[in-house]
Amino acid sequence: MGRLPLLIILLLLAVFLMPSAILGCVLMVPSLVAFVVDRNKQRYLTMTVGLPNFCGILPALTSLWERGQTFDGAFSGIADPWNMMVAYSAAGFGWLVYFGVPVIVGSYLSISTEGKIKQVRKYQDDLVEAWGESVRQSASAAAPPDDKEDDE
Amino acid sequence: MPSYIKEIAGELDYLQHPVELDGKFELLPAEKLPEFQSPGTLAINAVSMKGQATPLVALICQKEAAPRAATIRLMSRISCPVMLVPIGSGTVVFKEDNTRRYVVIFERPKGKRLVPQAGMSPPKFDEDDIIHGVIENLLPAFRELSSRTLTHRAIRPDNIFLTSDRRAILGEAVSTPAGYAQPVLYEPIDSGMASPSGRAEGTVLDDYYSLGVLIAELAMGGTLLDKKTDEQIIEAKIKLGSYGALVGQSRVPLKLMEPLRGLLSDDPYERWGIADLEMWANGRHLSPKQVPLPQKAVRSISFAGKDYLTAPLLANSMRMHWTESKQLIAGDQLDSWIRRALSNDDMASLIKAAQQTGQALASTGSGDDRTASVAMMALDPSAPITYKSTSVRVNGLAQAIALDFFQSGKLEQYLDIIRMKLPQAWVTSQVRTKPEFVAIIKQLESVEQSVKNMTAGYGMERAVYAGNEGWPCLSPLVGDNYVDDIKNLLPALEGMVAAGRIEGAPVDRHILAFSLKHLRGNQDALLKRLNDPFKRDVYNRASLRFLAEMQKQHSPQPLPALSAHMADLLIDAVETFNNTAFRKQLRDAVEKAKHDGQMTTLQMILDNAHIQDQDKLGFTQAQAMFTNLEAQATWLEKGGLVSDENVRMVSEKTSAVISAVCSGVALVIMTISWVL
Repeated sequence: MGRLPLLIILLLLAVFLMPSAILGCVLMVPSLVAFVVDRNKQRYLTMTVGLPNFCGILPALTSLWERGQTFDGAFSGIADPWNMMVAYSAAGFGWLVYFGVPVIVGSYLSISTEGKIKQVRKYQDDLVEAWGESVRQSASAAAPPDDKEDDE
Repeated sequence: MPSYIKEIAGELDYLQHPVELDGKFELLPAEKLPEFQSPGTLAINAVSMKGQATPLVALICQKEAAPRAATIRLMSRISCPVMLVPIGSGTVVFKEDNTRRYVVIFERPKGKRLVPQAGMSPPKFDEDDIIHGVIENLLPAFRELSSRTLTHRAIRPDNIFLTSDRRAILGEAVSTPAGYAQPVLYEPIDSGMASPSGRAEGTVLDDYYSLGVLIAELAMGGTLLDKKTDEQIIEAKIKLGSYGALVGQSRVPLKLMEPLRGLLSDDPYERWGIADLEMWANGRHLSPKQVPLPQKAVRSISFAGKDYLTAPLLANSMRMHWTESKQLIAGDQLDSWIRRALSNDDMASLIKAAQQTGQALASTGSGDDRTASVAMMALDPSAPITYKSTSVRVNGLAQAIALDFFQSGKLEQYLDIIRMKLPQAWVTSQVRTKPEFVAIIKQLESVEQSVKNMTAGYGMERAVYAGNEGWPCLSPLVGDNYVDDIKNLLPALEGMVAAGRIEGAPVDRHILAFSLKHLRGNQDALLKRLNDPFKRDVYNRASLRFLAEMQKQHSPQPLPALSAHMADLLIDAVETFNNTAFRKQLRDAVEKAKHDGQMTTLQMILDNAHIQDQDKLGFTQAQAMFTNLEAQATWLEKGGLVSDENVRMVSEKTSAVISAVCSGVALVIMTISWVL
C-alpha cells in the first residue's frame, strides 16, 4: 500500500475519531520526534520508540472510548498527568532501548568476530581440501579489486 | 618367384610349435614342404584332426599380398581331382611370436611340378600327352570354373603338377591376388600391360589364354618369346598377335593349331571358352576366327627414338615414356599422323576432346596428364588405364590400391585416376560395351565417394576395404598380424600393446576404415573427433570410445593390456578433474577397469562429458564460494563486524525487535487486564 492511501485512511479516521486523534497526537509527540530524526529508510528508531509509545497511550484511549469519544474527554485525558507520564515513559523506554542496545551489540560482535573468522577459514580449508589449491586462484585473482574497493 | 613378391619362407623359419586351425587341422610348422610352396608363402605340413589319412599341405600367406578370400570361400565348395582347391582356411596365432597369420589348407598334389622354378620353360611334350594329359585332363577343372564364374589366374608351368602318368593338375590359385604372380607371357596383352597389382580378378577367358600359352610352350618346348623381356613380349604380342608372337611359323602339331589359335585369340569375344574346348575335344573341328592385326598407317610416326606404324604399338610405347607422350600430344604431329596416315578422324577427335578437357583442368596442375591418359585410351581402347607409372585394368583399381598402398607415390596416382574419372573415360572409350561395365562404374562411384571424403575412416583407406572383400587390415599398428575379421582386431592390438610395440593411441585411419565396415550405428560424430591426431587429448579420448564400441559389439573378452595402455594415455584426464574425492574414486575405478580389461567401463570414466561438466560446474561454484568467503574473512579481519556502521545497523534492528517484542507483550497484558 502506498503512502497516500494510508494518509487518506488516517485522515478519515482522524475526522471520524477526532477526540481520539487529538489525544493520540499529543501523547505520541516522542514518536513524532523519533520519526523526524530517523534517517534510516527502514525507520528502526521510529519503530523502537513508536511501538511502546502506542502501548503507553492505550489506557488513555480506552478510558476516552469508555466515556464516549468527546472533546471534553480528550482534553481531560490530555490534562491527566498520569496519562502523560505513562505514554511518555513508554516512549522513553523505546529511546532507552535504542541508545542502550548498541553497547551490548558492540560487545557481543567484538567477542564473536574471532569465532566467525575461524569458522570462515575452516570452511575455506574444507573447500581447498575438496577441490584442490586451484580453488584459491580465483580468490587471489579477485583480491586486488576487493582491496581497491576497500581503499575507496 | 617374381621379385615384387616378398619372400616369407626364410623369415618364418623359426616357427616350430604345432597349432590348430578351427579344431579340424593341426598345422606342423616344423615340417616345411618347400616343394609345395607358392610364391610369397610358406608351405608346411598339416594333418586332419578327423582322422583322414590324405596328406595335406598348409600355405601360410602374407598380408602384403593377401589371399583371395572370396575365391577361397567359393572354391572350397568345388570337388575337382585335377585342381587344388582349398579344404580349409582361416587365421591362426603362432605361439613363437604371438602373431596371427592366414593359412590355406590343400590336399597335397600328386606328382611333381612341371618346372621346379618360376621362369623356366617347360619340357617339350608330345601331341598325345598335351591332348590327353593336359587339355582333356584339365577340362573338368575349367568346366567347374566356368560354371561358377570363378577364375584361376595362376596357370603357369611352375604351378602345374604332373603325375607319374603325365597327367596335369592345376596348382593352387588363392594364396596371392589373382594374376599377381603370373609371368607377363601367360597373361593376355592388356593384363600383361597392367602392373601385377592391377591385373584384377579378370574373367575365366584370361585362364583360357594362359592355357593356350601353356599348350604352346609344351608343344614347342618353349616359345618364340623365350628370354625376351616383359616389354618385348608385350610389343611382340601387339605387333604380331599373341599366336603370331608365340608360335609364328614354328611347326606345331596340326591338331593343336586349332585350340592354340582359339585360346590365344587377343579378342576376348573370339577367344575359345569351355564350350569350344569341349567341342574340339569331342572331335568337332572348329576354325577359330582370325583376329585382324591393328591397322597400319601409310607412314610411320617417330616417338622416343623408334618408328611406329600402328596406334596400339604407339600407345604401348607412350605408356613407357610418359613425359615424351605429353609433349607428343601437345604438338600437332600426332593429330596429323592419325588423320592423314591412319585416316582415323574419330580417333583424332577423341584425342582433341581429351585435350580440351585437359585444358579445362589445367588449373589442377594435372590436365596434361589426364589428356595423355585419355589419348592412350583412344589409341588403344583394349589397353588398361595408364596414368604416369601406373597401369591398371578398370576393375582392378581397388585391388591395386590395396596392394600398392605403401608404395611411394602410387597412392597419389590412384587418387588422381579416381578424381579425374579415368575409369569412366576408359569405359566410354570402349568400342564394345559389356554388361559388367555398369557394375564396375557403380563400384567405382562408391569408391570415389569414399575417397573424396577426407574424414578419418574414409579416404583411400576405405577404398581398400570397401573394394576388396576380406582384405586384411593394413594398419602398421597390428604389425604382422593378419586381421581380416573384426573380432580379431582388438586381440591383435592387445598383443601388440602387450609386446610394447604401440606407444600412442592404437587407432589410425586404416583401423577406422577397416572397422567401420563392421560397426553398427552412426559413428560420424566420433570420426570427426578422430580427424586430427595432433589434438592428442581429444584423439585419445575418441580412440578409447571407438575401441570400447568395438569391444562391446565384437570382442567381449577382457583386454587388460589395451585397457591399461589407454588408461595410461588418459590418466592425465583424471588429474584434470578438480574434485579430489572424485579423482580418487576415478583412479580406483580406472585401476579396476584395467584389471578387468573392460574398455567400456574405462570409457565411461575417462571420456564422459557429463561428469566432466558436473566437475567443472562444481569447481566454478566452489571458486565463487571461496572468493565470497575470502571477502568475508578479510572484512571480519579488518574489523568490519565491529565497525560503528555495522554496530549501528545491527543495533537498530535489534532495538526494533526488542521494542516490538516488549510492546507486544505489554499489549497482550493490557488486553487481558481490560477484558478481565
